[in-house]
Amino acid sequence: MLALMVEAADDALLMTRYGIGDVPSFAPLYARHKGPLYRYFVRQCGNAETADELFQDVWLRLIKARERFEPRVPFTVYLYRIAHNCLVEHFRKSGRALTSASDTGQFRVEEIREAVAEEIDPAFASGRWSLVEWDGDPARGPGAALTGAERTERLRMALETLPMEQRETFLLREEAGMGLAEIAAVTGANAEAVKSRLLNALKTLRAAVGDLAPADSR
Amino acid sequence: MSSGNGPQDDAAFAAFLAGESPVSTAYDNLERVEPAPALDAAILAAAKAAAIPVGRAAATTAAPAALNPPPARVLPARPPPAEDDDDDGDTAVLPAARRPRWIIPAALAAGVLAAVGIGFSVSGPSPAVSDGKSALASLFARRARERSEAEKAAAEAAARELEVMVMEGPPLPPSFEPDRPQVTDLEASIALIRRELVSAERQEAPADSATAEAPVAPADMIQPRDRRLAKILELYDEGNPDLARDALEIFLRDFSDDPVSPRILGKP
Repeated sequence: MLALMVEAADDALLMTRYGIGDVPSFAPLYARHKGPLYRYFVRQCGNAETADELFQDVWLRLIKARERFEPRVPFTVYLYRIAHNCLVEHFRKSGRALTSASDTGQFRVEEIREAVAEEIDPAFASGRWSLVEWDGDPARGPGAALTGAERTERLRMALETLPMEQRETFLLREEAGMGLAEIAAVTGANAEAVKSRLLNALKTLRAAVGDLAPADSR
Repeated sequence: MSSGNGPQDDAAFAAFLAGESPVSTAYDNLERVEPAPALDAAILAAAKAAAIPVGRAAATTAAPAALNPPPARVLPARPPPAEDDDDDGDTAVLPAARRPRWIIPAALAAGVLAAVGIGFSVSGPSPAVSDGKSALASLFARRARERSEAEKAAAEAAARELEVMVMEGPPLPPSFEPDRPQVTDLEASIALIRRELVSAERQEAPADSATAEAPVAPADMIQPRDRRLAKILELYDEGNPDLARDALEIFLRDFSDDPVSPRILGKP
């Protein structure tokens, strides 16, 4: 936690220094945040070309607005607020549904969820979460151990099926390391909405990696 | 708590926030894609170009002259995506050629000097010197040789250490940027800047501004020079004297021909 606080203060100082004309301050700032920001776009756009374009847009906007940066604003919030706006603009211009990362747009969200659910677990597809009541193929059931690679692949697929708000919230948490308040500041939602999105995203993703919550026995 | 969430959901959520969730573990195993190096270079170049005033940009060969608006986007051809799992989130991934260009020549020069010193030591006095003097000369030559070798080793170690420091430390300024002028009296400089800005505002205001409300100039019409000075005052007034000093020194470097600069530096 202390390391995160120090890093946040360092980011603010670097951006302020860059804003007053200290060119060398930009490079370490860019190096620290380029990976997470790039993956934030890749995971939401689904293709590298779009991610490249949006990624560059964000940094150019940041460069142009460098003198308006206020040190009291956490740099990550500042950066990802710009990124969020770029992403929303992109989706609006493309006219795509905001619930799928697939560039082909061939599947509706419900179809994708069903396909993923059937592959993962019939219990998930049926909406029943109980480990006790499941009576399908033991080799494919929730009791079967998933390899790390399987979990990762299922997570990837499940991430693509999440609604944009949930996916973005999850990525801001995982890639940018933001807390609920910071995510709220970036997305413009209130803290309760952020928590709700994260909870729902987590439920879907937990199911994907086989970390199901057993139903209450009745 | 949100409705519909059981205690296990809350526990899983708490574990997730603490970074101890299998979801986070699985996510960490996804490929750590990074932007292409050409994209990095384009953005860093844009950052450099935007921060250099127009007058100084023409004097440099590495930075393009465009300042406002930012240069056109560059989207280089992407290489095939490759797995890159060495990202630890805070490692500076910069081209290896960031080290100063003088490191290797300096090390070579140290080696040459050491070799010359050894050569002179070995050549020493002429063979016609007597045995006693010859022995003494040999002793002196050997000691000089040892001293030269020690100095050479020290020079090489210093060069290696400096190279390590350069690779691990923050990137050094580009070679075309000269040293910044030093501000000795910040308070006096701030007072001078305040008078300068007030004077500039009075000169721009129309004569009948006392009766009519002067229109506020759009931000993009305010001269960069005045905006930079205003920023310096803002930093100082907000209790950031170190940042204000840095900003002022950078201003003096970038606007060395501005009428206010020699006055700030106390020059005639």
